[in-house]
Order: sequence, then structure tokens, then C-alpha cells
Amino acid sequence: MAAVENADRRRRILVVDDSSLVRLYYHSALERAGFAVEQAINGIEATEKVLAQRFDLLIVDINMPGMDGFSFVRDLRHRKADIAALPILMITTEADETDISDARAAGVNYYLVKPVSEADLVRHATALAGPAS
Amino acid sequence: MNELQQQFISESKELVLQATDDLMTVERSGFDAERIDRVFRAFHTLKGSAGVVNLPAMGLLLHAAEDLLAAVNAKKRPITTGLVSEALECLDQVSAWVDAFEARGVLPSDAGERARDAALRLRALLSDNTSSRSTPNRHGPVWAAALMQEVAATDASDKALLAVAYEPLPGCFFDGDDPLALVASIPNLLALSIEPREPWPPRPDIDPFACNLRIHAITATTRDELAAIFRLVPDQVEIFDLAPVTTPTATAAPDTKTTALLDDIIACQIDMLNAGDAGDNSYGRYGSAARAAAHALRHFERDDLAFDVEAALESAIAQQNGNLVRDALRRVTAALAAPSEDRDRDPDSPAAPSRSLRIDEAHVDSLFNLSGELIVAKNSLAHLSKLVETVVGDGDLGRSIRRANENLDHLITGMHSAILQLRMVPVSQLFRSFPRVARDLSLRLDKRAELTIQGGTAECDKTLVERLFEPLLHLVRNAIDHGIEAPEERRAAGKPEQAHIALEAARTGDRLTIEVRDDGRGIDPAAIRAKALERGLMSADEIAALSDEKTTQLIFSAGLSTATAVTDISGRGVGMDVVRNTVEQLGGKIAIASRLGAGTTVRLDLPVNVAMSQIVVVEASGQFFGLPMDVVNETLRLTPDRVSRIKNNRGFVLRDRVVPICSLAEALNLPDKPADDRADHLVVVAEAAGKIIALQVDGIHDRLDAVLKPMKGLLANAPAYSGTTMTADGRVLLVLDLKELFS
Amino acid sequence: MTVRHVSGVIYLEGDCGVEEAEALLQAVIDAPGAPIDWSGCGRLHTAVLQLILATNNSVHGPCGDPWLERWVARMVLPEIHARLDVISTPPNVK
Repeated sequence: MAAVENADRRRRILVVDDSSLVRLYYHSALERAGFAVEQAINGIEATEKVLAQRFDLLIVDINMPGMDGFSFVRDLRHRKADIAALPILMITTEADETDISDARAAGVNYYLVKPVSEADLVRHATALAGPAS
Repeated sequence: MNELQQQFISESKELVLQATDDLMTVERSGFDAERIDRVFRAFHTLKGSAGVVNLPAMGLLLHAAEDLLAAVNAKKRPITTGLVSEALECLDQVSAWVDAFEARGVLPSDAGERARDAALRLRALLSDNTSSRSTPNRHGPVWAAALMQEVAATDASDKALLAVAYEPLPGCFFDGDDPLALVASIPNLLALSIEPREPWPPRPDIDPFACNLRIHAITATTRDELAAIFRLVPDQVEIFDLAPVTTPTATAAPDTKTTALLDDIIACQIDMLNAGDAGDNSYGRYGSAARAAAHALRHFERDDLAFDVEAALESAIAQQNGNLVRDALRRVTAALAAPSEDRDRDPDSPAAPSRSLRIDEAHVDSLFNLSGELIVAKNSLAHLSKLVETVVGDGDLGRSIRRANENLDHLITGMHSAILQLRMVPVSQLFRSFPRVARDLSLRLDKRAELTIQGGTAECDKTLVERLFEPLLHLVRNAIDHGIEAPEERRAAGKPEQAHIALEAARTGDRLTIEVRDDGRGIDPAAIRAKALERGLMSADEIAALSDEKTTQLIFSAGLSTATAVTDISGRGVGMDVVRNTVEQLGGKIAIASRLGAGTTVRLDLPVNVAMSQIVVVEASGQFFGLPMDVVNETLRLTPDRVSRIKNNRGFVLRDRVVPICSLAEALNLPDKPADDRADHLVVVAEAAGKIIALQVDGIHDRLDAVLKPMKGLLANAPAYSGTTMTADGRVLLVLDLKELFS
Repeated sequence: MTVRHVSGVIYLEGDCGVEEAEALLQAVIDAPGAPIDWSGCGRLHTAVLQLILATNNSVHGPCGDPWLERWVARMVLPEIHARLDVISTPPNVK
């Protein structure tokens, strides 16, 4: 049987945040902007999804119960090839100097400070995920 | 190479090796107090040694590195990958310089610039943890500027370009090399020049299996790409970064918001790479940085830069070296720093080499004059400030005034320097019309001559450009008229029919050298000797005693010409003495060297700046004159017992030397007081034209800094005066040219 | 693969390796003014090309190798000199 050509060439984003409200907000904003969006409620679920599916960008909250944002990022960066090099956008609670330098040290590619407007979210996600292929 | 230098070389090599090992171990295994301390001490010792053998550029760089390591050593800064990389790069540079010093006894001429750039980077690391976001602009070698003119504006803009110099070894064919094949494989080639390394000999003497080419190219590809192409001949290739060419902003205004975001994203990746713990060279880090950067670049339609980053990533993976990605990102930052964001630029507008303003030359001139007068005005303030102190005493008021005066002095001098810089123009302005001149003249005289220009980008004060045109014109005319033989004569002599004249400018520090070189018949010392004898320039004995070299210099004497016919084209050889005078008036020197049958080289050596002179004011016959400090040795008050009289001349002994005393008033043909042997003689001891003399004056007054205004109008050619300036109290002061006065 | 000297014209045909350099040099020595025709050439080894640059003979193109035509042809064809060249032929040869 001939393989059906996968017509979905949208960029894929994984949103990781423990608040369902936040996840909903990001999800709809990004879908409207033309991305395919998946959600995860914490670092563990995020890791499972990343190992199973292809993504172009991860958006990760800094505060999560269990495995916090930094640990997740650090862990991810030491995994195998394609997963390790995933671009990561971190959402922080305030422009705290320690947070920012920790984020850099952990290997985050960019960060935004809450609250994030829809326009900013889309703008940065688009830049970091790259144009649709 | 003396023993001290030998020791420096071996010690430095050892220290560099050891520090490199330690740093790499730290990078692999993390912080180690003992190792860090060793590295710090290594830099400290290297810095000291550089001072001992007087290599200031090296010292500058090592100092900055040492400061950085001191902070790490004192645990004021964490040791990060970025820091280790910088320290290693510093050691690489030091190592390269030590090699150069060992081979040639000096550092390369760009050492100072490199040291400054690198030191800046290192210090930026020290002040905050973010890496400097802009890479220093490097202009590349001089030939690159010329070659860049062939690069289309649209190709070059906003890209960081590389200039390649490839000089294959003469025996390379026997190694199986095909240099041009390598060059043909350079991607993104934008300009190419191929010249013979040495002039081609006559055909029968050409060795078909010896490579005699020098190849220059400009390309938009990456260093890694070039390194791969030339991997078998790295010693024959040199690669230079070129500052990105910026085009003038065209119609639409750039979207500043977008630009800022892209810049920020790139900068963040660099920061993130530098923030890694030492020992963290994980693919995840630099891989994600490369991907994020490439994504952003593509999104903002900088596919070319995205490609560079991706290429760098591949190399980084292959070599397991994340720094390659960081380097690529730095280059991208530099490329993005080019201001033009509008992609619809006018294809016909030429690429401007740098950001510039169009200014009317008259404005710069008036600024310069104003600044000169400000200097005179500040001198008068200095004068008043001294007066105040004598009246008011050394109290607060006196001190305040003095401080204010010093401050003003400092500011005005600084401003004057800055304005002097405004007047700098590239020498190419001077050279511009010469190819045409050469062509026309060659046609007229039935000669074949080709004129090439090199070093046009060297800069000098525009006065030089204005005043050197005539002399240079004369030299070029001379070369074509007298120097270059008719084609038949050249053929008979086995020379290529096409003669070659080179106009070459070079700038070293604050000197500008200009050479006019031809491959013509050269100067015949015998002919000059004969002419000198004929014209009675000197006695036969004197002429015979002259070396060939000294004889050649006679060409600058007035009244000498070896042309068999006086033509209207170049006039007599008399022109050469005018050329020399002009050059010397500008504060320069001229020399001529020649080989009979092979050619002649005239070399001008000039100061780049319009100089400010220091003057001492003296009084004679009731008038004030200025004497340039550079000819004044000292001023003395001689008691009568020191002065001796021999017939009508007076003199005195100064440190075992008899110095004649001459009254300045008398020398200037001014009414003079009769000599009074019982009074003290106030003298200014000056040395000029090879003679030492004591000028007796009635008074010696202040010294001042002045920009000399050249004499104009009727006095323009008056000998003995080099210019005028204003005194502190507003009088015009004539400044004497002692060289002329005494010759 | 050859350097052929036929009725006053020197032809470069096919790929010319380093060994052809000697033949080319001999040809230009034998016939000093002969134009060099490289319209049928393939790849030229540097040794061959440098002789073309050295001898200043006029060159008939376009070059068979597109890269050479694009980058080097302007250095050899008689009507296009390097930018500061003054004269190509002396006027009024006596």
C-alpha cells in the first residue's frame, strides 16, 4: 500500500507547564499561529513525549513540581543527538539574575518573563522554531 | 639573537605548553585549584618576560589574560568553557608571536592591533560575564582593499568575507600540486587576482615547471571550508577576515524590532555557550545553540548566515569542538552589525567601505584653522595664568586658575588631534590621475609603460596630498622620459618591451613612505660625474672621491641635468631639487637608489600629520622672533670671561667644542647694538644644516606650541622664515628657518 | 591533451596537464607572436596557465573551461588589460 504523504509540515512545539490554564493559553495561541502543539504537565511526561515524537521547539516553565525546569533541560542536553540539541525557550517568573544565569548554564536557548503576551510568544516561538519547511 | 632573547624564546615555549596542558585538563575535568594557580603564574611570568625583551604587544595581551586568571584564581570568577577558550586562544597567539620573534626578531606588524582587540575581549569577560557582542573590525591586508573593488556591491554587503593569499612554492608542481585547481574549488568566490611572484624573465629563460604565481582571492565562504581545500598546503596560504561591507541605507526604514530580536537571539546563544561549566562540551549545548540561531536567521531571511552556522555545526560535530559554533555565531554577530537591513538596495550604488558623512572640505578647513587659533589662545591663557600667580601668589585662586588652565590645555590638545584626524585622506586621492598621465606621456614619447598603484588606502593629512602632487608628477614624468628606454632598446637589452612603473605607498606608524619605482635604464653615475665636473659643481678630486651612491644623490642638486635635450615634458633635471625642497618643507626626506640597466627607485619618507611645532620666542633688535625648538639645543647666559674673540668673530667653548657666536639681528640684517665685551651674552645654541652656532639675542621669552601658518603672498619665498604664528599677547610672530638662514 | 601549433596559431585542446607546459613554452618561443586558441581546451594545469599569463600572447577564446573563462579570461585577452595597464600596442611603430 502506498504510503500516504504526510501533509502536516507544520513546526511542532511541546509546551511544558504544570498549570492547565497556561497550557491552554499557549496551545491555542500557537495553533492559531500555525504550529502543531503538544502538551506535557511535568518534566517526566515531557521527556517521554520528546523521546517518542519529533519536535522543533520546547517551551518550558521554570517552576514545576518534581523535576524542575533546569533539571529537565540539563537532563535533555545530555541525551542522544537530535533530542539533546532541541531549541528550548524557558518562561521565567521574573528577570532574576540568578535564574537567568542558571538558565544559561543549563543550556536554555532563550527565555521570556511571565506574563507573556500572545504576540511575544508567537514572535519568539516563530524565530526559534524556524520557518515551516 | 642574544642570550636573553634565546632564553626568552625557550622559556616562553615551555610555559605556553605547560599552561595549555593545564587549561585543557581543567576544561576536561573541571576546576582544580593547583592547576589554575599554575596557569595564572605562567601568564604572569610570560608577561614579565615579554617586558624584558621589549615586546609590548605581547605584554599587553598577557596582562589582560593575567588579570582574568587572577580573578579566577581568587575565586572571584568561575572557570567556564568560554574563559578557558579565551585563555587558550591567547596562548596560541603568544606561541605564534614567539615563533615569529625567533624567526625574524620582531613581531608581525599587526601584533599591536591584534593585542588590543584580544585584550579588549578578555577585559570584557572580566567586567561582566557576558562575552563582548561585537567583533573587532579587521581591514585585512592592503591588497584586499584593492581587490574588494571588483566585488559587486550586492555580493559583498552584510557578509563577513575572507581574503585569501595563496603563494604556491616554486617546486610545488613536483609535489603534484595544481594550485589553480584548488582555487577553482573555492565556493562563493567573489574576486580573483593572479600575478607573477617575480617578474617574468625573457621567454627562453622561463622554467615551465617552476610555479611563479601569487594568487589573491576574496570569498564569502567559511574558514573551515578553506581549511579543507588547502589542507595540504597550509603554509602557503594565509586567510584574513574582512570587515563586512555596508551599503548606504536606501529607501525603507529597517524594522528595528525585528533586528533587535535576531541580534538578541544570537547573543543569547553565545552567552549560553560561554556559561557552560568547564568540561561541558556537550553536543546538546552547541547543537541547540546552532539550531536556534539557524532557525532565527532563516526566519529573518538571512539564509546565507544560517548556512554558515549550519556548516560550522557540522565541523563542530566532526571535530568534537563546540567552539566552532561559537566562532561562527561571533561572525554572524559581526555580519549583522552592518546597518543596512533593506534588501531592495539600489544595485548601482557603490559599496561604501565604512559609515561616513559627506562633509564639505571647507568646513574641515575652517574647523582646523579654528582649532589652531584655539591653541594660540590657550597659550595666552597659560601666560595670564602665570601672571596671576605672581600677583595673587600660590593661594587657592592661583591654583584653581592653574588647574583650569591645565584642563583646558588638555581638552584643546585632544580636540586638535581629533580634528587632525578629520583631515586624513587616503593616498589614493593623490595617485588617482597618474595612470592616465603615464599613459598619455608614454603615447607621446613612443614608449610602452605601465603604471601600477599599491597601498592607496594608506592615509595621510590632506596637505600632503595637495603638496605632493607636483613633485610626484615630476618624478613620474622623469621616469617615463629619461628612465624608460624605447621599446627597441629594451628588447635589445632582453627586457620586456612593456616597462613598469610602480607607485607604492605604505604607512608605518606616523610615517608615510611613497616609492616611485621604474625598471628602466637606471642612473649612470659616470654620466653624473661628468656633468658635475662640467657644471663645476665640485672639484675633480671631490667628484672622484664620491661613491656611486653619493653620486646618484647629486641628482638633487640644482643645475644638474643629464638629459641630452631639454624637453618641455619634464624640463631640466633642475626639477629634482625643487622636489627635494618640497619634500623637506613637509618635514620629509627623499632618497634615490638605482641600478644601471635595471631601474631606479625614488623614495619619499614623510610624516603623516601636519606637525605642531614648539617655538621659543626670542628678542632681537627690538623685534620678536620664533625659533623652532627642534633646532635649539640650549639657551645660555655667557659671562664675558667665557667669550673669546678671534679677529672679528666671537666664540665660546661648550663642552670641548668651539661654538661661534653670531648676532641674530645681524644675521637678519637688522640694526644691531655694537658688541659689548663687558656685558653678558645671551645666546641660543642651535644646530642646523650640520653646523652648530650660538645666536646672540637680546631676550629669551616663553615657549609655545604653535601650528605654523605658512608664509603667503610676497613673503612666500622669502628665505629664512618658515611661517608665522601669534604670540600670547596677540602679535604676529615670524618663525625662523635656521636651516635656510645658515646654508 | 595537446598543444598544437598549426599555421601560426597555437591550439590547446582537451585537458592539458603539467607535462604540456614544456610544449607550450617551446611553441611560443618558436612563434613569438602566435595567438593561443583555448576555445577547445578542457582543464588546464597551473603550469600551462601560468605560461599563458607570462607570455602575453593574445588569446583566442572563449575558453573551453567555464571557470577559466569567468575568472581568468579577463587577465589575458588583449582588449581587456588589468585595470592600470597603459598601452597594448605601441603606436606608430617605426
